[in-house]
Amino acid sequence: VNDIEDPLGGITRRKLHIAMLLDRSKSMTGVRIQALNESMRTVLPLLKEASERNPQADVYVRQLEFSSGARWRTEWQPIKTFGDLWHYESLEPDGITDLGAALDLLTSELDPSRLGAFNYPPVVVLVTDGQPTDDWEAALKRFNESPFGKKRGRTVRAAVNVTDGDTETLAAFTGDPEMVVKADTSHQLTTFLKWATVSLSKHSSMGRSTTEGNPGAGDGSPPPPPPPAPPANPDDDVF
Amino acid sequence: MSSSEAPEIHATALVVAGPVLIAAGHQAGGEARCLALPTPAGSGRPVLLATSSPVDGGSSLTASMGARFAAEAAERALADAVKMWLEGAPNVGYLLDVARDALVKEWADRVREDDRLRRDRRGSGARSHEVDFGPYDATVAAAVVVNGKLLAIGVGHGSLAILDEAGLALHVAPEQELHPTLSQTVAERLVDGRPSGWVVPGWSRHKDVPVTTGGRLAVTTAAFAPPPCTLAVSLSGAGHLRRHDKPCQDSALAQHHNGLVLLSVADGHGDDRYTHADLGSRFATDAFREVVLRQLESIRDQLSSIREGRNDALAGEVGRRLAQAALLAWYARVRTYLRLNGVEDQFDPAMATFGTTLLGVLVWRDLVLCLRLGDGEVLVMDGQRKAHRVFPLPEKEFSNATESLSFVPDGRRSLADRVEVQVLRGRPRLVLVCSDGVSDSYFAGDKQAEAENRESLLARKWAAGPYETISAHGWKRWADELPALLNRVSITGTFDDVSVAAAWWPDPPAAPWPAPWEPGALKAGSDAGWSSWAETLPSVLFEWMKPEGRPTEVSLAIAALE
Repeated sequence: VNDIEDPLGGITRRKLHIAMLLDRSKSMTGVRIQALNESMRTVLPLLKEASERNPQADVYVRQLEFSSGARWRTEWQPIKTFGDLWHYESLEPDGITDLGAALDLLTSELDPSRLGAFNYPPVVVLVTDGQPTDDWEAALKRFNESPFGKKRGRTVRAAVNVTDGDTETLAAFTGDPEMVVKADTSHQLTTFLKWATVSLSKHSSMGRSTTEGNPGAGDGSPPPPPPPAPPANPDDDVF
Repeated sequence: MSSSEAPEIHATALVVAGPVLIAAGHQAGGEARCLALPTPAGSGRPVLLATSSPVDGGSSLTASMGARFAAEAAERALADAVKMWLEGAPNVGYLLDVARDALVKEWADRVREDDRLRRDRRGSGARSHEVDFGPYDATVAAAVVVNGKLLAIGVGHGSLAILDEAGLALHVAPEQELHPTLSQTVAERLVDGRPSGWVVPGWSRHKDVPVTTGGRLAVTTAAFAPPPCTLAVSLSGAGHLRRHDKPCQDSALAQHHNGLVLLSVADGHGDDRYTHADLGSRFATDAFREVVLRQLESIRDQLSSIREGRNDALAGEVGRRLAQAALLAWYARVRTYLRLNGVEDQFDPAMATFGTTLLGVLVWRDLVLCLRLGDGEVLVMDGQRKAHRVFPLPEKEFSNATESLSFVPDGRRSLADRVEVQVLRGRPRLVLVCSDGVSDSYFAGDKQAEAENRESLLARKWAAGPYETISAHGWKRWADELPALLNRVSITGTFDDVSVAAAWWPDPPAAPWPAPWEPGALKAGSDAGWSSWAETLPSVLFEWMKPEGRPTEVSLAIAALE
């Protein structure tokens, strides 16, 4: 078929990147890391299912772990191949809480030259239980001056505080205290991770006005987290 | 078809409806007349020929009345000019200018009278109002050869030809360039509904004509080109179809009004909080149409000023005023829907739930005026067969938020700051407006093309591609295939709702139009004798009108030169 006659040639889909910053420091040892691993195994299939229902975005997930230093655990992986071509590998706890290192890695990766020219606002989810042990504030400043970080609405950020995290630190990261949730049980962790990935990625991929504040249509901010549920059953682990 | 013959002077006048009109169940609305003039000393008996055609086809009674008034007025005006010339008035050019002005004036007077009679019949005649000349609009041509001189007047796109014995035409008119039609001419000369003078554009001709035995004089008028083909399609995107509670939130419209083409596409915001986005987009295209139609003549005048003045600053001003008027009309619709009372320009919070983008395009002759609030795109295939993406690529690297009709007035950025206006000059062949459901599918490719200074991928796929398809296979085939194609684009690309509003102008004929009687027909006619040949003309003309892009009807008056 002649190039000009094939209107479908050259079509690309808009991408939605979900970066998951996962704390695997020593303090996560025990039920916390176990709950995080199980929550990830529960939520990733739900995210896959949701993205099939919300197909305007090609959703990619990338996991970043931080403890003593930080590293990307994976490449950007299409959620549609989860369970077929890739699986979730459990985190093992060790080391301290170098959140700043994690944010610097994020800053270097969230760049149009790396992500391409056609994106929904990336969703960045931070899960942590501790006080940062490095200069996270300088790293956050660098992220907030980066192409994606510098304007409100170019990223959708959420933080899940696994009981003992520092709420103020997390609110500084999200820029909005309402986007910080506290999970005290494994059930709550799963619920909040589902909100942070499934609900926020849907929010990110919907068309809206640039007007800051949309009276009558909500205020343009992401959907609020669900209320923390009490332990669902005797098996629910309390952190 | 109507015909009359004057055997002793060998003249025929006929009006033939083409296949398009016949298929639509319409009759031709044109007029063709032959009038024998008093014989001047030392010459053969001259025949005055006059023809006219409705501009927008012959389907309505007013259109055919307009054409009749035009032919009769032309015949009278030219006959008077010839008479004065034969009586010794020396300046034939001046006589013809006067005749052309008289033609336009008589036509306008008769239209006014007809309009008044119709209003009287409807019982609405008492109220004074402005006459809408548009429905009566016609093109007209009249000519006579007398004493070896050709005298001709016309308004619009008539054609006039003198044919030699071999049937090869010496064309005296038509013009390459489109002329104003009668209603446009009148409208351009009216101030507050009154004529401001009758120096009108149009054409008049006088030249010495070598009279050859067996030659013919033919006058024909027809719409120079049929009206543009237009379409508007909005389809639910693949994503919306999967959610049964989500209607199509796009809206599209395409119309033309006496030469002004209007295209619009609106895309309601997809976020769940925009609960009335489907209505919002419909209100937006309706509002745009309303503000254009409400001040149609004034907008034509403004666009004419932009054309003539080559004034891009004025274009920006006109575009922003249109956008402002559309915004107010949109507010009014939303308010009515919400059953709210209030001052029209006061922002109401509930309006945001109707949030939508708006694209509007007006094409007037060789001017394309484009407005954009938000995203989506306008593509133009120009006269040189070059495809253009009209607006700069929006920023899509970081966000999918767009400008919106539901913006909150904050005193910092007005509508004028938010709306983009672009003007293109040169007669377009195809204009296509699309929502971001279509354009976003090519965004990454166009971003790369822009960086590498290559032509737009979107313009290639959705302007050059359709134009080639239409040129090769016709408008209907492309229009028939479009919905399926849009559906595939949605599934392959954005999954969003997809909309297209488009207008296509058939290629103008090589000027002049290849006449149906040349070269073989007239020769055959000469061989067969006038009567036998004249009988074949209707079928010859009908066959000639079959290809796409030909006039929908032809009015022809033809006489033998002696």
